[in-house]
Parts: sequence; structure tokens; C-alpha cells
Amino acid sequence: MKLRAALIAASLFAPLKAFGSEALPSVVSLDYCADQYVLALGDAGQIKGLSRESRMPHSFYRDRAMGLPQTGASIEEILGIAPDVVVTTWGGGPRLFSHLRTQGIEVVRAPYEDSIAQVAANLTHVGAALDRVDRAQELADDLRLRQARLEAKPGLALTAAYLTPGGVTAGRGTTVDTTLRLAGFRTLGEEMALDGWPGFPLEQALRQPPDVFVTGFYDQPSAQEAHWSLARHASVRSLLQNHLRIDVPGRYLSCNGLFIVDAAELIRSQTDEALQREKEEAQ
Amino acid sequence: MMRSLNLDGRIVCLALATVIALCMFAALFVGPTSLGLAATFKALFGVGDPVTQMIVQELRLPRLLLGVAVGFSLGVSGAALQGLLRNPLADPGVVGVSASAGLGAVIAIYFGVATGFQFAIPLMAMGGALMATLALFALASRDASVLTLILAGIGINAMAAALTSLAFNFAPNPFTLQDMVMWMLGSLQNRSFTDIGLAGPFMAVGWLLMLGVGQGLAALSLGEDAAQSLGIDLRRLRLKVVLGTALSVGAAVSVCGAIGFVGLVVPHLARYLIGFSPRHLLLPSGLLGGLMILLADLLTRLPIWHAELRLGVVTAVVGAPFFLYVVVRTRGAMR
Repeated sequence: MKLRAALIAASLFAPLKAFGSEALPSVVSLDYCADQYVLALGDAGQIKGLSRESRMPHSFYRDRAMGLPQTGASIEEILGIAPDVVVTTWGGGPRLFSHLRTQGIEVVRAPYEDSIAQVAANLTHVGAALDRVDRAQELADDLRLRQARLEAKPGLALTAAYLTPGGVTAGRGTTVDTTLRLAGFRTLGEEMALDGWPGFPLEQALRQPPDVFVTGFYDQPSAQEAHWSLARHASVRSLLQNHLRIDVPGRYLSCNGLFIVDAAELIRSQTDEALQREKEEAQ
Repeated sequence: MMRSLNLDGRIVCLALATVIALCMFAALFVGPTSLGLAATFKALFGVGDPVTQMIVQELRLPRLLLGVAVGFSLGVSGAALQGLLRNPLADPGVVGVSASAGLGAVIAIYFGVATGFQFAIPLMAMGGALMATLALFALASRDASVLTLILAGIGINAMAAALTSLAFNFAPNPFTLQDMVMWMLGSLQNRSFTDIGLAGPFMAVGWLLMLGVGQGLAALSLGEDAAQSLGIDLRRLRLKVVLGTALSVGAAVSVCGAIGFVGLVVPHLARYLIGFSPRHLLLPSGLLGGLMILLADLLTRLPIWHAELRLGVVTAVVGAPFFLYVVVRTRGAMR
């Protein structure tokens, strides 16, 4: 517990520390997923530009992004900043990257993957480019430690279904499916052999309802569930009302991988609390 | 010119209504879960397993009813527009009425109007459709050539697409953008009686307005002067078609997204079956539209697709080659 508290404290204060930033390579990130790696690893003083979505509600570290400069992903803007390193997950493009490299700017890719091993590799890779190797190691170790703790917990013997306001669910091979399994659930994707991001299988769910609904992005201002999508359907509302529902803020789910453990911990703790409440009420 | 079988219109309508009823009944048994024939039939009448009842009554039945209503709206609108503009290529999709209705709905969603007022999307969609129909009429009614209509349609479609793209461009986040794009592709999946309650009354008023203009359209096919000499109030006739199209297409688009080419294809099929008089084309076109959507939606529900196939994609795949066929057949008139 003490180690966990120390790691959390370190993760909270380390990015804000400006000490020694003069010597660190300056960095620009091109999209909000790359922003998260830069905000997790970087020193505030070395961050010269974040994407324009870095302060949006779906940006996990949006609080850390407040007050930091933002930039677009055009050659002109980036050359104007002249950073040492540019980090990207999906922003920019081959033309931009080759131009930056000819100008001597290092382009670092943090691939959009859903495995914790890849996230740890991304942390190490970006950390090395930002000259924040120790910090990257600390975060990667913390990630693996928390993953191991979750995996050591007994399974819940419950099936969870993921649902967004747009009526999308998560199938096998997605980050959310991995997250739900890490939280101890069987998943709708596994049970119904769904892959990728299909529409929510309402008929099947009515026939064989999952035990728990994990809803994502319902906190976003743009979630027009009332008049827009499947989520307004009376049967969906009825399913959500009559089953345990764990609501996960969209910022935990918006970038593949980096917050798998945070999301899984949140889901697991809320589920455990809800099950405990149910048990107490039953007694 | 296309030949016609010159069948009796009443018999054709009766036959189409019977086929639609049979298809709807058969489609009740098609879905991602296998419910069984007897259980599905009993569930339709509120007997048996409550979950099966819910699936049949709250998922499958409204989807079928809404599909027929949307198809009817698009079919009648296509026939009425083709009659009013005396142009075989007039169709709510081709001339930009559907795209403008979609723009109205996107504006309602984008600015959050839809959150506080449940009729915002249908009303804005109908407003968009009305603007497009009025613009089309202003641009193409005097010079009834095919070319003018197509050019006016391209202009209206381009304007609606540009403004819709603007909304996509400034979408608050990638998730909303994906929602809007998928919705614009058209679908009847997971629609409910709430949707029918929202859009149905507007569609019905639109049908009533358009189904009553058959005589006027028949007279108009002889030319405006001849129609007026026959006692047709052209202003009233135009108003009914324009309002009827706006109400029915706008309401249809507001609940199902943009579904193109139905209004183009079905009046031609109706002409093939019963002849060329615009007077007798309206009801059969509506019924054929309903049948076309019903069958297209059934196709999207077959368990052979890797991902959900969108209804608007199916109608476009069928309709676009037909559009080219009609262009080839009528190209003489474009010169």
C-alpha cells in the first residue's frame, strides 16, 4: 500500500516539476493519444506543444494539459516551435514525418495497441526520447504491478457488456474487452463471438442479458443518447435499469492501452462495492 | 421509351399490399436470435415468453412498420416530384431533398437542440427538406429539362453536403463524428415505436397531401397552360407536393438517416406495371417504395455480413446503376 501511495504521489508531482527542464529535449505531440504519453512522462518545461484536443473531456490527463501550449499538426506550426522530438500515435502523416526528419527533428511513434506489454514498450520508447527513462520505468513497473494485482483477484463469474451512447459494444480484440477481462469479468464479446466494435446486439442481449453493463462515454457533453441512437431505445433503458451498471468516464477509454489498468481498477472497485451493497441489502 | 404492362392500378395496389403484408409477416421471423415459428407468432399477439414478446413487439415489429412507412414516403415523394417537375430523374435523394433533411437533423444534433426538445430533429429535418424542395422548384420548374433539374439537384446536394461536412469538420470529438457519419448512411436497426410516434404523424400528413394531387399531375403532364385551362390551381398543386415531400421525406430522414434512390426507382417500376398516367402512379409508387425498403432491410439483416450493412448503402447500390440506366434512356431529352 505504501509503495502504491508513493507511486501515485510520484506520478502526480513529477510531470509538474520544472526543475532541470532546460536540459531536457523539447517535445510536441500531434494527437490526444500521444498527448497522454507526453503528459504522463514529460516535464512541464519541456512540453512545447500539445494537440488541440488535449484539454477536451475525453483527454485523460486534461488537468495536466491546462496552461501548457497547444499546436496544430501542420509542418509550419511545428517548424515554428522547432522541438527536438515529435510524438504521434495517429496524428500527422508520412509527408509531415519525412519533412520533420529532414529538419533533424526526431519523430517517435507510440502505436495504438491494446496490450499492456505494448503500452509499457510505448512508455519506454517515448520516455527514452524525452530523456525521462527513470520516469518511464517507474510508470511501466507500476502498470505491470497493478495488472498483476488485478489478475491475482478471484474472477467475478459475471458477464459484462460494454455499451456507448452511440449503441456500440466491444468485441474480442479490443482494449475494452481486455479491460473487462482484467477487471475479472467474462465478456459479451467472448460469449457471443463478437469481434471489433459492432452495434450492440439488442435481441441477443434481451434473450440472454449480461449481468453487468459497463457504459462508457455517457459523461461526454456530446452524448446525445436521448434522440440519437440505440441508447434511447426503451428496451435498452429497461436493460440498463434492471442490471448493475458501471459508468466509466470516456477519458479512461478514449486511447488504446494507456489507461487499461486505471479503467479496470475503477470498474472492479465499483463492481465490488455494488455487489457488497447488494449483499448487505439482501441480509 | 420503356414499355408498360398496363395492368389495372387497383389490382396492382391490392397485390402489392398483399405482398407487403406477407413479407412483413415473414420478416417477423428473421432476426439475430432464433425465436421459433410458434413462439414468434404467439408473441405478436402478446402471448408467451415476455422476452420473446419484447423482441417481436418492440424490436422487429416497429422496424418493419417504420421501414414500410419510410419506403412509402420516399416512393410517393418520388412519383409526385417526377409528376410536378415532369422529369423522370426527380427523386428526393438525387435532387438533394434527403441530403438537406439530413443537414437539418445534423444541425439539430450538433447544436444540442435535440437534447431538450424531442421534436427538434424531425422538425429541423422537415425544415431542411422544405428549403431544398422550394429551391429545387425555383430553379427547375420553369425550364423542365432533365439537365436543369440534374444541375439544380447537384447544386442543392453539394450545398447540403458542404454544410454537413462543416458540421463533421467541427465535430466535438471523433466519437460524435463517427456517430453522425454512421447515422447518415441510413438504418432501421433498433428503431422503436417512439420513432414511429415522432415521425409517423408528419409522414401521414405528407402522404395525404401528395395522394390527393394525382388529377392535377395528370393535367400538368399536358403542360401548364393546358392544366390551367382544365381548372387546375397550379399554385395549390405545387404547394401540396412541396409541403408533402418536405413533411414525409424530412420525417423519414429524421428517424432513419438518408436513404437514397427509392423515390427514383419505384415510380419507373410503377410505370412499367400500370402505365404512364401520373394520376395512377402515386399509390403504387408508395407501396413499391415500402416493399423495396422492406426487402432491402431484410437483406441487411441476413447473417452473412461481417459488419452491419447499412440500409442506405443497399438502396444506393441498387439505385445508382438504375439512375445511370434512366440517364441513358433519357439522354436525348438532355440535349
